[in-house]
Amino acid sequence: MIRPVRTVLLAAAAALAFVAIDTVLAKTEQYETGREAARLADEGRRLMKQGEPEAAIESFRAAIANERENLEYPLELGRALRTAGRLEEAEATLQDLLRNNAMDGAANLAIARVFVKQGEFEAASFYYHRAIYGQWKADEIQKSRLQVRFELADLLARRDNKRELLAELLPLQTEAPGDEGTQQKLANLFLTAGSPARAEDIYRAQLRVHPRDAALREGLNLTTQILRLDPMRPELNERERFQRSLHVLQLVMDRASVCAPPADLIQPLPAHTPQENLAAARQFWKLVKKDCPSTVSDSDRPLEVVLAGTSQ
Amino acid sequence: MAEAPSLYSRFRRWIDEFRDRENQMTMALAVCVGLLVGLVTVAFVLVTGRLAARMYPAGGAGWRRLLVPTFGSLFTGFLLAKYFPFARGSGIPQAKFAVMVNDGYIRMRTVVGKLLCCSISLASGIALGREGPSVQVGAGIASVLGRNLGLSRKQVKALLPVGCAAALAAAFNTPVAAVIFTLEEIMGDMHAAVLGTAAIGSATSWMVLHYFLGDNPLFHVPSYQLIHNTELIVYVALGVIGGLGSVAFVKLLLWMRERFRHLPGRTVWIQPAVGGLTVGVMGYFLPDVMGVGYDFVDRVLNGDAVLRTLAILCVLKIVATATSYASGNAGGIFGPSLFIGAMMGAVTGGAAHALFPESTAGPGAYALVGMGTAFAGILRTPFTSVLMIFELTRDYTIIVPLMVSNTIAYLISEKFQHLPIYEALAKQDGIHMPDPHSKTRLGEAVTVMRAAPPALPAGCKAAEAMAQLKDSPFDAWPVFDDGRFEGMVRHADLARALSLEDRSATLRELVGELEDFPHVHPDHPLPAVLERMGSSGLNVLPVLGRANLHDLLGIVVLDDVLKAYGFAERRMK
Repeated sequence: MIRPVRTVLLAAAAALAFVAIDTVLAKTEQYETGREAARLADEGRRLMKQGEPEAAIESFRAAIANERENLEYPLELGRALRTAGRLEEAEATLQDLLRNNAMDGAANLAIARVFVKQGEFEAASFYYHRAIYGQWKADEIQKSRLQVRFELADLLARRDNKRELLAELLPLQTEAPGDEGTQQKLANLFLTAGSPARAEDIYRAQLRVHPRDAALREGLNLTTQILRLDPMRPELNERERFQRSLHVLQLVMDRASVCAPPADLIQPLPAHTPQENLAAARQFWKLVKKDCPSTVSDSDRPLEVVLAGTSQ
Repeated sequence: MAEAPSLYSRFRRWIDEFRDRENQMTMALAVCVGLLVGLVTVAFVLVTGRLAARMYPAGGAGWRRLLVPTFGSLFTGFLLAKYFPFARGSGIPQAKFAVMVNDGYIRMRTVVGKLLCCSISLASGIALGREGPSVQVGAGIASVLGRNLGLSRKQVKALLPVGCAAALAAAFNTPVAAVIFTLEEIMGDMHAAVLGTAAIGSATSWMVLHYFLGDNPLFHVPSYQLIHNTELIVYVALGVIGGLGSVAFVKLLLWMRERFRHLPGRTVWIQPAVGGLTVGVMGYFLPDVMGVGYDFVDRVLNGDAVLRTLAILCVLKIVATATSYASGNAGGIFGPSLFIGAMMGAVTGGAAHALFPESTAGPGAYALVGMGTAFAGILRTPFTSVLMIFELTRDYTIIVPLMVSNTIAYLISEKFQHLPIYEALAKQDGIHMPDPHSKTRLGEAVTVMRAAPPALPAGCKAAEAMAQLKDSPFDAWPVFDDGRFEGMVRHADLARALSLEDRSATLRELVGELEDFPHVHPDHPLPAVLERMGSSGLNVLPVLGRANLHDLLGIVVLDDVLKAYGFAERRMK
């Protein structure tokens, strides 16, 4: 009977000893593999800075193999793959990452950029939105969300998607910091989105803080001109709208006459509505830009913005 | 007033009572074994991994890769020859032997030796795996614990599969496949009564692994799927290639092992160094051939593969593993099977993808299926192979191709290599494993076994033997040489010798190879005894020990077998 008792006690002692051994070994393993992974990731970042994404990919892969728990490494691998133009692999890597946490802000942003490179703008927009509302580190949440919104807004501006752009800019107006650079960028985007009144508000507000800033003043002048020219302002009545539209058409025709003798110009048909006048103006403006682009100058920017703003 | 019992005596009484409640005790022991085996296996896995990273680090000098395996295997060769002779090789045949033949007996010394020698071997980069040894260690811990707790032989035997399953669950991070493997390979019976306890042991051990190393599958693979239905043709081809490759590997390993076994006994301690040197030379040029190679497999599974390198690695790994194992190093073939399979799969898939890029997946998907294919072909556990790939990769999307390839590889392997590898290895060691499927309600040979008739000395002449045996009812008689059973001499052989007027021929010359003579083991079922009697035309068969064929336990006679079936006694001869 003594033997079983001794065996139970010995087994318990052995188990405790092995718990201690395993703990030490597991900690050592974690420490060593973590250190090696960090070294490899640093090497990858250095290679990325040197413009060697292919070599960086190998380093990031090795870092991941050493420490799978660190989700920074697959993210950096995804970025390196995108830089190297290996877009399908980048997408697969980032999708794997998103399978762990679909709301990871950084991963959503990275995959959105991959889709932009692939020309899949709808998918890109979807992931930009997930990045905006996704999870970020607590100390960078505001900055990151703002950056993503601006990046999405830039994309929408490039794609001339005014309605979605305006939808992105409205929350940005409340979230964006009040510094001059950010506000000026926001105002420019409002102009692109066909909302000069909001741009004017921003410029006026900024000029109250920085009254001598030439760039702000120039921006305000531009928006004022646009607002004076725009026939589609909501506060205008039908008559005023019609007269403004005729004025816009006349300005376009003046530019066109510089380009070709008035006799050669096809006269527009007598218009009955502001919309018809503006449609004709846009048509001629296209011809002017195509046939004699040298005649178009910076002073035509208000006209151009108005014509672009009324196209949607 | 009576004195209150001491804490010690209360503890003794509690253990005593506990032993009487068999079900509860079995469950509690399964948890204890799972816990202990899990702790030991985690330590084993971590030690071998850390040591290997130090002994031959990635990007280290070539001379290290040459010298470390050579000297490592030289050292383990000495330890194995001098102190731990039962710690050689995989450990799975040894665990099977303990369960099926040796009443669950594994020595503590073997457990310690296996851990020590395998740690050195694997840390030196020998191209063998850690899973087989873990199984033997697990079974050994269960055996030592059970015996020291005063359990009956039957109970100790029932505890061994728990240790096996627990060890495999922790070594491979596959708790379900570990149980299935234990039933399919170790017990050879998917309906074995130990299923419940093996599952408890496996789960406990896996939780230990989980606690210390976290929730990480052994391999990380992207999600693969069948790209096009015609792709199944490529998976069929992979099954064929995997099957043939498995047969080639098994035959090479067995052939080399047989050659090593015929070398003089005094060279036993140096033989493992041949395996070490082979791995070292290969590793000098191609480092990925060394060790278990799971990191490399992981990269291949993720599609990071150069076709030519993979093809070379596949061939080198087959040779390296076969040489390492055959020369007597301590380590298993479980892990190398997966490596070889992954390479075969990636090469097949890479070639197919280059030819039909639109309708086939990349090499990674084929590497994944290839692992299962080689596993099914080499180890002949098709069910385990499918489950294990699921658990290793946690990828369930490629199930149909996996099953198709595995089945084909299994069938090809069975066709060209009749004996499964672990049984063939045991047979080379002179051990005949029982077939667990052959138990019947009629009983076993031992139930009708009778004492052997007086033995004939091997030096006896044919004429003398015939004179002695003319009134014997049997048609074969045991022949002994220096007290050692050498075989049976048949009546027909004696008659032929006399008809050829070769009256001076001794029985030693007439007795053929012992293995060739029809025989049975005590646990052979009576239908198998009858079948052997029928096919050999003998009415008497020797009953031999499974662990030692020279151990004549008795004889079985046709009349006794027929009586057991309920037939009336018939006249002999």
